[in-house]
Amino acid sequence: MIDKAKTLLLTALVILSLVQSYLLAYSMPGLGVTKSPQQGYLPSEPIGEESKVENVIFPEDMVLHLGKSKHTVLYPASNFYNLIFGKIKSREFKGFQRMTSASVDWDEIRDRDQGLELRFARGVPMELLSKVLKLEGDTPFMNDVVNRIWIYKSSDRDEVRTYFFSADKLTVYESVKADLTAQDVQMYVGYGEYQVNYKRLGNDIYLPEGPVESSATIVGFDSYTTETMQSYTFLDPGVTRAISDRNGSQIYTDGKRGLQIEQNGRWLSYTDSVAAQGQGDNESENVYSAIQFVNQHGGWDGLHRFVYADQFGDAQVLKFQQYYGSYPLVPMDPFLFGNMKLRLQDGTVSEFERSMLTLKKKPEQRSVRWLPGGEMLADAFANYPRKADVVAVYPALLVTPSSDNSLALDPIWAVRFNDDSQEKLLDAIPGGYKPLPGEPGGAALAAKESGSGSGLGAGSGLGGGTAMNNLYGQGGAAQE
Amino acid sequence: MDWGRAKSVLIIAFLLLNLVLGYQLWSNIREGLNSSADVSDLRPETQQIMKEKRIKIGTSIPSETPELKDLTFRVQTKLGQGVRHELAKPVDSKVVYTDKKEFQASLGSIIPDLDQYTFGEDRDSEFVFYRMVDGRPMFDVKLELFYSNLKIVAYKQDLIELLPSGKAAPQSVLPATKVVSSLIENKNLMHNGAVIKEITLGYHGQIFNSDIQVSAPTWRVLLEDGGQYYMNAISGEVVTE
Repeated sequence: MIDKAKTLLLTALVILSLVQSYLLAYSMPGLGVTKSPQQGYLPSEPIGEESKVENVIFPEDMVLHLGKSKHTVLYPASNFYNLIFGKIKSREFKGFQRMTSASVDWDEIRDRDQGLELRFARGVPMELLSKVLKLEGDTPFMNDVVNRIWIYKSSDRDEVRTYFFSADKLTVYESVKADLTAQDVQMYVGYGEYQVNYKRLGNDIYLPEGPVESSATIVGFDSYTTETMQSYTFLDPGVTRAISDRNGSQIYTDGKRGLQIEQNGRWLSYTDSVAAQGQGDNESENVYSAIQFVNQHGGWDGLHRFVYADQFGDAQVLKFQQYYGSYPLVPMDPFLFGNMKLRLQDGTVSEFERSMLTLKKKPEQRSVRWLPGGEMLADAFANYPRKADVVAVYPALLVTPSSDNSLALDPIWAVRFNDDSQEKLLDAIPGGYKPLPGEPGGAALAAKESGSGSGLGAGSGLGGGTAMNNLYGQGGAAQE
Repeated sequence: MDWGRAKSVLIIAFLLLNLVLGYQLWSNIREGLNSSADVSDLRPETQQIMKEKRIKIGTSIPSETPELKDLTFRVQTKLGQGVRHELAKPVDSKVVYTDKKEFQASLGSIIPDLDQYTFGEDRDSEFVFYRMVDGRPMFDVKLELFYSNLKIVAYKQDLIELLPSGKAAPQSVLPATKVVSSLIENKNLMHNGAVIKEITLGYHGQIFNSDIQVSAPTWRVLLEDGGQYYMNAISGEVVTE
């Protein structure tokens, strides 16, 4: 009897312990089954070309001062530009001394002394520039932003002076130990002898006295698919929802990140509601992150130039301007193309905009166009309504969609304003006609100026030609 | 061998085992019922950082980890940009603190879907209500009652319509202790001396210019000084407003 009761009790205890063990095991935190993502892991093979800091930092243009108030301008990826920039990259700049900008009459040096200015538009942080040029300076110098490097041979002594201009427009740093010689400067300036002459207007603006060659191009494009971009944007593309915007564009979101596809799959804007961690933003760090981010999200389509932007609140906005050949691409409103914009906080990208299109290597059609110079351009600029806000005048390519799978790139004179927006100033002369001296858009007549003026027409041909030879060689400027 | 003796020994052994298991199970269940943890449940490293930065947690930390999924919903006006409706007859602001029925009776006929909203917080001159889904607030969908002189004079409401969320399967959320720890351990986020006032599980999403919005399960951490952090409850990423 007792034996039977014992057996029963023992059995009950064994079963109870089993039940309790089971309950314990499956109610323990951390032992729950974790669900795997709904879509398998997609290997992120990078699409598009990758780039590095060294490839996106280069001067917007180079102004060569030939002395005697003669100037000329070289644009990126042209032969002489590449030659000069390549040489300067191999030189060393050391021993920087700080001084105030106002202590020297720069306009006088501009017109009198032979030299060259490398202009970086809104500027480049020194720390980044030191990746491209060989610089050695102290901390305050390395923390500054430089928008111009000026190398000239002072006319009274046979001595080369090198200045780095801070973007604050007040401070200038002289490199007293730069290994540039007077021969170097003379050689650089010599490249400008056969280029079209540019006239200096106050405010740092140079306008050519003769026509400048460019070319109108129709170029096909490939387009990234929405699926590709989704797979690079979301950790788990399987859980994203597609919703449509009030303007008709598609948005893909996982509740945190958003990917908006606009203009029929031609423009992408990405937003990540990432937390503000802003405490002492490091600009250079942000630029590295931005480049890395673009590498992983579609890569670089040809040559891009880094455009420095200020802080907005606790975030930093960076832009990369796309080039085709020597000239920047300016989209025709409302078409979106030609630049990438990123908003970063502490190295984390919170906004990103880019085109989904990549230009094909070979253009479908290309023909020569002459951009008017001389009085025609000067008049157009003088009568431009927002003239006072203009910070730069330069040749560019206006981008318009010409068919379902190609874009038209038309040469224009463009102007840029303080806020970095760009606009068309003047169209090219239609039909590839090259204006002769005295005609609208051509150089001044020979009689007006002795010697130098008459040579302009022919000279401009040479200058433009070098730019044109490089139309295929995208990326040439920075990769040397 | 004396089988009877062996049985007695086994019975005692299993009895002891059962006691141990039973105690474990009981403490587990109690923890679950309690559904909250406190500072001592955080990792020692986190507690060390809290000491260094003088961060305090002035609330209990929820320990629930329910299975939730994204919400998809249609909005009538842009979230947070609804029209301010003035009340023809101002209502005593006391009703906010009364029970649901009375509240419903006083404003239910004026404000649509009022029963779907639950009181969230009292900001100066306005009460903020959140739209609830299965008992959890949607932090982006609000009903604001404006008051002055103890009378509710106007309201502003985000009206939404929940949509079926399709194929997505619910996933269990990260426990609040984990999320709070990562928030505290992040060097740049919490300032010295911050006091955590409230930790709530709800829904939050990036707001797009669209009729349809998506909100993901999110932990919201409110600070005493008014600061707030949203953390995705699935991935643990810190999100801005």
